[in-house]
This record gives sequence, structure tokens and C-alpha cells, in this order.
Amino acid sequence: MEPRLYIDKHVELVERCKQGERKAQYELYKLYSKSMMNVCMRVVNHNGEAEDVLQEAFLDAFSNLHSFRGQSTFGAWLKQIVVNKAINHLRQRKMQLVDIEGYGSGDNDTDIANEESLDEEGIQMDVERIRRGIEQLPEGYRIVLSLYLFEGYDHEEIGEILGISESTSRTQYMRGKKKLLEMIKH
Amino acid sequence: MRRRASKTYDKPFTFPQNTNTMKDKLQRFVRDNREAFDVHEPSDDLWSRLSEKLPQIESSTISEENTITNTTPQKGGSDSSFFTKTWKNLNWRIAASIALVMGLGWIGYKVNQTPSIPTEVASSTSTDYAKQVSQYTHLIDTKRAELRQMTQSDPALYKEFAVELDELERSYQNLKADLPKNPNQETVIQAMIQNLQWQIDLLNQQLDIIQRIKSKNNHATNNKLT
Repeated sequence: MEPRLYIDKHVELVERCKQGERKAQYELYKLYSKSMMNVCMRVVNHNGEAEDVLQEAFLDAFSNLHSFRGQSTFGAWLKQIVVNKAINHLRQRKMQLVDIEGYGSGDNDTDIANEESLDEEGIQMDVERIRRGIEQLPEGYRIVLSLYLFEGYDHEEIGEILGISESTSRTQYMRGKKKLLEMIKH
Repeated sequence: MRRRASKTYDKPFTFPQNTNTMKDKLQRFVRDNREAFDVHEPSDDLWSRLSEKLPQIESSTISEENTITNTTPQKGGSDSSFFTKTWKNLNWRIAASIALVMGLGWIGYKVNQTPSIPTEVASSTSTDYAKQVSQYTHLIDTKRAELRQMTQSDPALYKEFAVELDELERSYQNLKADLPKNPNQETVIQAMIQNLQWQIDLLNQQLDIIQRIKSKNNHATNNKLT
């Protein structure tokens, strides 16, 4: 995520796509479709909708490739489009992202204080259980956790993407994580 | 993501005690097993559905698409219907600009019936130029629309930006007017294309500036709220 100066290995492929070469577009699609599909899934949590979002995002990426000027890697650029599309999709689904502030509002401060008593070190980590646990989290938690843990955004960036404050993102993350750990503990 | 460089790390809001212990194990685990979490695959026919919607290569070298979107992903809730509308408006403009440039090439050819070499060159490559010009003008129109939308709250700023753009636009129009009577058409066309590229660069810079102002304002309001 840092603005590092390294050579994007797909520069040449991207250039060919800019020329509208269908084969190059397919190559890029093959390279990124799986990881981007999983980004979509973690946000929208629905297979069919995730594919719709994915398709839309690739179409946008290909038609706006000329605006990609190599300031980040192609993957990072594409992911931004995917994440924004997915979030917009949820918005259209009438989910109100502001509402996540309301989740678990009864147990806010004590909640965070209690987290220390939750013995994270003692919890057995397991890919499948974490994955399923995240799927079952309330939408707001799921999105913050996914963007933070998986997509490498920090709370400032998540705040901007979701239109919430940085500290709300932080709080949501802490609560979401606590909930998740409780789920996988049992 | 690209704003990292300007970030300040002295945010007052932190969870001092539990960040280290709580953060690390789960985060570390996810990071170390990142690949294993990606269990979903897009269905096999997604590419064929997608490629049907991609523009035909023959019609244009830079793909142009009927879903013009926000080229600045940070913007968040983009109004897609706005862009669809813009696109519909643009459709005839692209056609018109292709026709215009080809027409100009034809007129130029007619005017210089004396078969000189530069005219030959200009007419043989005029389709390439026409393509380039139409792509650039399309891009400029899209970016301008975006600029207009993003500066809705700040008309003064838009005006300021528009002045700079109009200057380039004027010199473009001068070049275009000059084209039919100029014996060295290729040079003029190249200058026109160069001018369009400058317009795009300028628009990109302006959009960048707006983006930066916006994210700064966002931070300011966010910080005030917390």
C-alpha cells in the first residue's frame, strides 16, 4: 500500500490492454479475477452479487485504463475500483453504513475494556473458522474487518471509503474482532 | 492509498493497552495465510459475459465503454446515472469529431490537389489521427464533466480551472482553422494532438488538486467529529 517505487510486473500487459488488445485483457482478467472475486465476496457476501460487481469493476477498469498512470500497481488500482463498486452496491442495497455505529451500542466502553480479558493467545486460529466467522458477522463489522485485515487499508482509509470517522472504524474493528474471536473460540 | 505520504501519525485516538496483543495474532495469522482465505472462484462463463460488453477493438484502440465511471476511486458514492447521461451526450460528439477530422482531411486533400508529398502522408494517416483526436476529445469531455461535478460546491474554483482550459481550447481552435490552408498538414495535426494531450494533463492535475482538497476537508471534519 505504501507508495513504493517498484516495477509492476504487469506493466507490459497493461499497455497492451490500453491498446484494446482482447487477449491481453483476458490475461489480466485471469491474473486478477480470483483475488478480486474474493474481495467482492468479503464485502457483499453473496455469490451472484459479487460476480455482478466483479464484472462491472473489470469493465470499468478496462475502459478507464488510460487513467491508470502507474502511481500504484495495477492490482492496487483495480482493487480500489472493486472495493468502491462493492461498497456502492451495498449502498444501493439500502444498507446504511452509518448504522454500524449503532451495532452493539449498549456495550461500548466496557466492551473495549473487556477485550483484554479475552485471551487471544489461547485461541486456536483456523482459516476456515475465521472465514466463516467473518461471513456471519453483522455487515458493518464484516466490512471493516475485511478491509482492514485482508485488503490492507488502514482506519483512515476505511473511514474515507465508508464515509465514517477514523475512530468509528477503529471501534468497529475492535468490536468486530472481539465478536469474531468469541465465535471461533467455541 | 496514495495519500499515505501525507499522513500524520500523531492521531490522538488510540487503544494503547490492547493494540499490541489484540492486533497481532489475528492480523499475523491472516497475513501468513492470506492465500488460503481466497476460496471463491468466479464462474467460468463470467469472462465471456464480460467480454461481450467490452468494446470492439476495430472501432477504437482505446476501449470506450458505455459504463463510464469515476476515474478517481476515492470519490465514493458516484452517481452512475450522471455518467450514463454524459455518455449518451458524448456518443454523437465522438462521431461528430471523427467526421470532422476526416472531413478536414478530405478538404485539405481537395485544396491541395497538386499532389505534394506531405498531403499524401496526411491523408494516408488521417484515419489514425482521427482516431486519436476522437479518443482525446472524448476523454477531455468526460474529465471535464467530472471536474464540473466535483466543483459543484465551489464554482469559483471551477471558473479558475476553466480559464486555463479555455486558453488551450482556443489555441486548438486556431490550429483547426489553420489546418485546411496550411501546406504542412501533418505538423498542424500533430500540434493539435499535442494540444489535446496538454488539455488532458491539465485536467488530470486539476482533478488531483480537487481530490486533495476534498480529502483534506474530509479529515478535518472527521477529526472535528471525534
